[in-house]
Amino acid sequence: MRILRGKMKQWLYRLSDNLPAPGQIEVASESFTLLPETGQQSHDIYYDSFDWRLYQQSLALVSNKRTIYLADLAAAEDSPKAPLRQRPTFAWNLPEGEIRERLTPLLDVRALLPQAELTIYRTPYRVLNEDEKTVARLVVETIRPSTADTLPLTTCARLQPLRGYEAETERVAGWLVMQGATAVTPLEWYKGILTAVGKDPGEYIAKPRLALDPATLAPIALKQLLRAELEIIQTNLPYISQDIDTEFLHDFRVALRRSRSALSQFKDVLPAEPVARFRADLKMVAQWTNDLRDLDVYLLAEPGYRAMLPDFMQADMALLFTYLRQKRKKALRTAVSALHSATCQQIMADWAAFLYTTTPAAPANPILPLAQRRIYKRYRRIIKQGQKILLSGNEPEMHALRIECKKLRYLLEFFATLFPPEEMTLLIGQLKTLQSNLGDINDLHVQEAYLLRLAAELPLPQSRATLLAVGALVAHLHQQRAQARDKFSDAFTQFATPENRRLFKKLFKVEST
Amino acid sequence: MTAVIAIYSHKGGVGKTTTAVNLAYLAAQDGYPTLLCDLDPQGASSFYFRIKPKVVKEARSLGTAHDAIARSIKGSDYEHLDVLPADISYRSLELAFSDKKRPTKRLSRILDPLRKEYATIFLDCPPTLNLLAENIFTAADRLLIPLIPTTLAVNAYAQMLAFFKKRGHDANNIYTFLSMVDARRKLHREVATAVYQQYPHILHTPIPTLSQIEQMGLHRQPLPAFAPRSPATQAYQALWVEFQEKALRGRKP
Repeated sequence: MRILRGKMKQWLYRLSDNLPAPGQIEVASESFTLLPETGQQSHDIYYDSFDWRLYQQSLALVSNKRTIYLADLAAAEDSPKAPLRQRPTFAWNLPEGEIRERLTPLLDVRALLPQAELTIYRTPYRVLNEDEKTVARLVVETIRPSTADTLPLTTCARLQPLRGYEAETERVAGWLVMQGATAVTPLEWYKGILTAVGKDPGEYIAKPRLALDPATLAPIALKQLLRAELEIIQTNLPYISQDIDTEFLHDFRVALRRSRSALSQFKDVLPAEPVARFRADLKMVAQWTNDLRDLDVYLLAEPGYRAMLPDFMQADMALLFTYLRQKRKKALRTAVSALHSATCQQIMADWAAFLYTTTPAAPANPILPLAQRRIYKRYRRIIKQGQKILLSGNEPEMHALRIECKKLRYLLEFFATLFPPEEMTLLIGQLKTLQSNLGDINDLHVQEAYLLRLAAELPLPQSRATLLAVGALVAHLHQQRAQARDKFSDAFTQFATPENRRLFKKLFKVEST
Repeated sequence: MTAVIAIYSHKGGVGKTTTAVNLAYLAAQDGYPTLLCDLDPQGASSFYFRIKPKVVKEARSLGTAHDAIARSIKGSDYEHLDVLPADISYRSLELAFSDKKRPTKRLSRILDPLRKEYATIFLDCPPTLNLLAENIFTAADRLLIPLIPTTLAVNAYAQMLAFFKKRGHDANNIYTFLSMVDARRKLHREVATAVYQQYPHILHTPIPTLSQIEQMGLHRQPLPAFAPRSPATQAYQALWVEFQEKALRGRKP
């Protein structure tokens, strides 16, 4: 059945207190009748990812008992409703159709979480003209959190015109405002609900962009950056054990790596003694989760791996992934117990204490020239190394270059707010292209090695067929790696263009005095 | 695929408007976005939905006619059901006679853009056998014809069929049902039996003469809305089900 979309404009109001009383209302010289109809209660759950990917696009996924739909809060338009078969979690288990199509690229591997669970009591009214013809519908919604029996969070009204009666509806809208109703946009309405249930849709950004002051002394600026990373670490840590999706761990690890990279690239800015200790500590924390992250990556790659193999090998491949899933279960337990250990808690507490104590006043330089020098030095090193690789095609050198690029990427991101945004976006974009090529080469290499090691672990003889599949996979990955290596020169050349060099020089070269 | 269904007869007073109003309501209740076009200048179906005729002035050229029609459509009191009031649709049709190139396609061209929006479009037609009738035959995907079981009416029906075929239309698109059947009258019973024998394609569901149908004018509502369990409602429901099965199979939106 084809479902017509609500193209009609809908007026949304926040009501101050009382519900409209049924009966006659007089607007200008016209009189309308408000006729209440039977109300109904529904439980609506609003879903979004932990990092509010839907909200950032003015979207919300809404489910009630039997159906699910995507609300576009900017366009005030809902997707067609789809039957709800299971609690929405990942994009790939949403019902097929428009909702899945739109959310797949947006969510990627992130899970949906219930962000607001609401009990909504809706009282519909018909607005009748003097012929007793309906000219508009008014739905008053009293909204409570489902989880607690409290006072309503808000009472609001939706005024829906009937086609061809827009003028009458506008008059009724005017009357509502006179009664103390405030017009709100659907997005304002949703934001209000989220705030009321204690959620802040802007609060989590995996890569914080600190607005740094160029004159801030380097040790102070560095601590600011590290504190932002620590927040990411602390925010994600408690979710890792819940195993909701792979990205809590991923963001946690990236923030650790960015912190360690900042410490190693600005060795002389903070006192050497505690820094050495924290570098070692943070490295250790990251290592506790290495196995788990590796397994996450392989399991996420499952569809890709399957696509590489012919049909007759699919079943043998499945055995491999069953084995990996078992391994991951263990790795999760190990990682979680380490992350919840007293040692870890102590490390985190000490690290926070260090970052939140004021640096004793010591002679120090402002952050801007220091940042420029570090970026420029790193950039020149990358160009030099890259040019060497263009001639040699040496893969171990490519891996070394990948590390350098990562360090430069972190520097550019840490200090992005000190430089013109468009130029930074351009530079970071070009660097990303190079990084993604180097990353592919490295990932494929690591995967090959891992699969070969895994082959040795598989219990024989029942996994002979699986071994064959692993062999086919390794051959395929090996071929892909050769292709990725061939693309290096293009990826590097687009990064090392003369214009780009001039731009790096202009932004980051500090004339030595 | 959208189905344009014309409730047509070249005779007046055979139950066209009540059929159009009730079937459009039932289609909308089934969830199909439905439009009822009131082509009768007397505006009876607009009246049943409490919609005031209001003249829209600018429907003078083809381009603005589309806009004027889109702006003249009124939401009924019922979900999925809109009405194109009598005056505007009739005024647009008047222009058919000034469109010298393709005088019989005027109505089709008016309805085509509406097919995007509606799954079923009902035409409540005035009694006519002239150029307007030709427009209706061209525009409609299906004709639904109420036939009163009297000798004169059946003779006139045969003439109408002949006219329809002569003009090159596909008689397979015609669906007919017996309307205003009074089972107490011997004549009705006899003619009905004869008609079913003569025209085996006629739908099996008759609509009887019932006082509730007349009460629609008092309530100004479709029958199923004010008398959901009445025999009259049941008759229209049965007719809608049979018509859908026989005429709309494969055309379901």
